[in-house]
Amino acid sequence: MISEKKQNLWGDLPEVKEANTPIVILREQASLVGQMTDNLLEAEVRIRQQDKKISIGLGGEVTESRMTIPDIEACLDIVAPPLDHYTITVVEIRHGVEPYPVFVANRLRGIGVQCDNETVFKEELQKALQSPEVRKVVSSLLTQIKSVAHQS
Amino acid sequence: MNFLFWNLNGKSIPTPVANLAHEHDIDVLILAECKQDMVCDILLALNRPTPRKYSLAHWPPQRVDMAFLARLPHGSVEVVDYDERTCVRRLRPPVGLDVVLVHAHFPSKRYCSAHHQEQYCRRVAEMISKAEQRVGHQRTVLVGDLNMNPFECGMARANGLHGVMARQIARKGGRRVFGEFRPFFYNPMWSHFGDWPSGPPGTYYYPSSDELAYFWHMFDQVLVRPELLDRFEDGHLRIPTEAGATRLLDGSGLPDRRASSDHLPLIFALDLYKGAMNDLGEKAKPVGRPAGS
Repeated sequence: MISEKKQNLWGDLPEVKEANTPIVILREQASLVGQMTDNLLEAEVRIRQQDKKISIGLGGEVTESRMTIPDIEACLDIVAPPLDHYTITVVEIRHGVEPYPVFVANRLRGIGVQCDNETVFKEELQKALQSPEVRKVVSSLLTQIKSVAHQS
Repeated sequence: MNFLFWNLNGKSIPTPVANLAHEHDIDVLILAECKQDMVCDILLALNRPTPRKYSLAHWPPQRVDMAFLARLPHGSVEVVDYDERTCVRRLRPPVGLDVVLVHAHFPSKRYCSAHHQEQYCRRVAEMISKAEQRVGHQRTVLVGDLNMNPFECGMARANGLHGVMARQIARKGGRRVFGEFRPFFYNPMWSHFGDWPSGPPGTYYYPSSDELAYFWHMFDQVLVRPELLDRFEDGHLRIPTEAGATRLLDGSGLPDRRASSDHLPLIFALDLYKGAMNDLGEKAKPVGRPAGS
């Protein structure tokens, strides 16, 4: 008779630490856009997974394998519902299975930087969101929305 | 901004079209051999799951069936010029640079000579030049089923489309031929021939019985002016072989004309935002719905 007792090969799972992941921080910032712009603009966070091939060592030789591990990418988009939901991505982030280090890029400026922890990430995110490029986008979209409202 | 071009071969395949659009976050779709009665189903499939709606732009009277769908605010797209096979549009997104977008379905080799095709390239080159003078810049991209390979005369000749295979050459802007300056186009499709790197060897397969047969052709092409080189990344140009659950190649690795189309689609991107913020003065005239609409 075969024993049905299952053997737990996982061991004890690590304790989950409380932390603000980059995506949580992005979502927090996205939720503020509506109230700051009288709901003329919104912001949303899109998440996608990108598979990255990994290198493995075989007999002392490093080679690229077919195995992949997922990187997590997220975009912070500004949405203008009165302009037929016109959407523009202002910030992109990317990290591996661990939330830090995280790569954050100002999409409008086309530059990015790696952040090793939450503190640095928040500093760089603030720089991006308060950059002249993002401010100009917000200003331009609000101007166009108000102009459309004035015409109709 | 992401673009999709696909010659649908007259097939009503809204689901694969929508799958490609959603998976690749497409902003502008140009669909050749797409009749007007097919567009409704395509729009339904595109718009069902998303608040960002696609709409059909103005469809000028042409001999060819070519639908232009975009998820841009009303007034962002205007027709500058057109003939029976080519349409020149000005794309002005709410944020970012405006570009001239030329989409075309050139004459087929089945019905006309190589000389005719070459002459048509010359005609389109002149149409583009006039449009560029009218809008005041040369931020132009040409996409379509050109029914020619990048190496054919009309595509490469100085008085044709003058497409070159290397960025280094395209960056020179153009060259003088017989005393006249002829601007270049950069043609990235050269790099997609054959088996390496990965991807299908072309966009259209034709097993000619002629003594000279290429089998795979790169008829579906995108070309960009030198002014857009820094905004066009070769790595973002793709010839997809899957559209959601629909495989676009059959078991022999050829375009599956039964399940989808005899042409493979083309996807590319233009970064209209990077460094364009200083040009926001051009946006003084806002886009939006006209009063009363």
